[in-house]
Amino acid sequence: MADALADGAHDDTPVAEVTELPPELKASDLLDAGLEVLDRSGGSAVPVLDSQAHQVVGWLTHQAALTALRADVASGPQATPGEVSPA
Amino acid sequence: MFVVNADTAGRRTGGGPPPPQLYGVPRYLSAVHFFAREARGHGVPEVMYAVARKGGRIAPQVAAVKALASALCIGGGGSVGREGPIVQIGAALGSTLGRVVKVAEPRMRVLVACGAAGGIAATFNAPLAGVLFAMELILADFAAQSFGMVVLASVTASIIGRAALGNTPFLQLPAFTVQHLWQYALFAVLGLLCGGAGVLFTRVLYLIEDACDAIWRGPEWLRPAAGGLLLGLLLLVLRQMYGVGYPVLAAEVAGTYTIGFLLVLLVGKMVATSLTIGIGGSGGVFAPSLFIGAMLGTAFGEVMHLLAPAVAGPVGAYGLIGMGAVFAGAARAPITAVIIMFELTGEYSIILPLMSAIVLASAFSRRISADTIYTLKLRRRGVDLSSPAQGTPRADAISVSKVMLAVPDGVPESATLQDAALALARSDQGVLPVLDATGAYRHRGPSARARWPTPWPTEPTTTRPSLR
Repeated sequence: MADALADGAHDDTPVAEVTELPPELKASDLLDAGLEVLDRSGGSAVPVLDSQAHQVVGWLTHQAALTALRADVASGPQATPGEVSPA
Repeated sequence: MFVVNADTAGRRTGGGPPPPQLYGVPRYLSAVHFFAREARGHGVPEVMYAVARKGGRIAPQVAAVKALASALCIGGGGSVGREGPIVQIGAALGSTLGRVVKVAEPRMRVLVACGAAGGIAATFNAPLAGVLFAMELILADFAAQSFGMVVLASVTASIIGRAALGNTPFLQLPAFTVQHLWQYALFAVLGLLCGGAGVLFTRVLYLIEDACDAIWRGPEWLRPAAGGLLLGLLLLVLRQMYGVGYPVLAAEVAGTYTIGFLLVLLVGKMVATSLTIGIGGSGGVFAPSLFIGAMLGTAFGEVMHLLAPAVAGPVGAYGLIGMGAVFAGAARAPITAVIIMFELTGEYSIILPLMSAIVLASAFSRRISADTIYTLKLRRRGVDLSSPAQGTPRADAISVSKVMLAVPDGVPESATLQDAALALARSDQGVLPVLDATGAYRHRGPSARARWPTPWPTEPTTTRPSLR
């Protein structure tokens, strides 16, 4: 977009012409997948859709992902790895 | 006291042919089954798990039960080593001490490592190897502070061990020197072979363990007795498999056996150790891997002697390097492997081929197998020590919906670039969704259009769905 604006001739160009379609996520996806999509998209945020892809339900940003991964032990929802049980 | 106990059991079996009536005697009691199930098996993985995932907490009774179980198992002829038991015993004592004096979790881990280091240092009379084993395998960390404490534990244990058992290396090995530059190439090939053998040993161990699990249908506490009979038969055929096997090892490196017999011993040891552990015995895999390595190395050396007598050099050197390299291949602990072989031989001249073979063995083993002989046991129970520890929020355990923010205002696709630039400048993220004329968001999915919700009126930073 900066490229398009730089020459001053495109100020009135509709934004649709420079739009990129980012990869998207489903709300049920894990953050693992979210990080990968964020990485792949090259942008700093990607849209999150509901399970039928009918509605955009949120916006996953780099910042939100970082915050979640740094969240306190007690606060973040997390799985407990399997205990070592006697065979 | 437990240290001495397990140790003398090992030495006694090493002292000569054991009384035949001991073969196959259902010697392993059900103590393990009832009092401390962690004491089953080889020991090191349980300690690695306790340190990595449980803040170093190990039940105090593990020390007593493990000492009894492994003394009975090794003393009764089980073809396993002492390092696993002693690491677990030392670690349990360290953990118990930590519990009594109420230390914080990081200190608890170091105490567990101290116990393990002290155990190895005293049993093998190898203070350096004890320290590095604890740092490389148990703590998986070389922080200077923990190093100091582990060294202190190792030195103290060595001094006491030497006072009680005398200052003799646990294995007497002849010294060798490299006589020909070509030998480096041969040692490198041996290193690769040994890396493969280490991985093979790991596979055979768990394969036989699985087979034992699959075949045995009776009560668990009777299994060692039934398995003991089978192991006894194997020991009758191959006496060299009895116990820890250091005397056989020494004889082998000295070049007493023929190539064919060495290979028989190699396979025999893999099977005997796996069977001992598979039937529920308690013992380590370090000594067996040294044993396998010595056999492979010596056999390799003898073959090289036949092929290239001019450059091959002494056969024993190959045996020695094979020992360290197979351990490195199985446990992927190159630092410990180099140091323990160096400590055993006290021979500086062998350090160059030793290091190169061991590093090659570890690298090759990593190439062909994701897990080591220690971590595979944990992996099979669903624990992956290489993944972030419990307590760290994990990206594969949080759903995107818990993390995502409220959607920002969209930009109509008919907007001009200039307007869009302004909106973008005001946005938090430097990216904004572009909406079509109906206010829908066009995406890549099959339905291609999704409704864009009315943005929340307040700033996104204050309306983000909370993680808490």
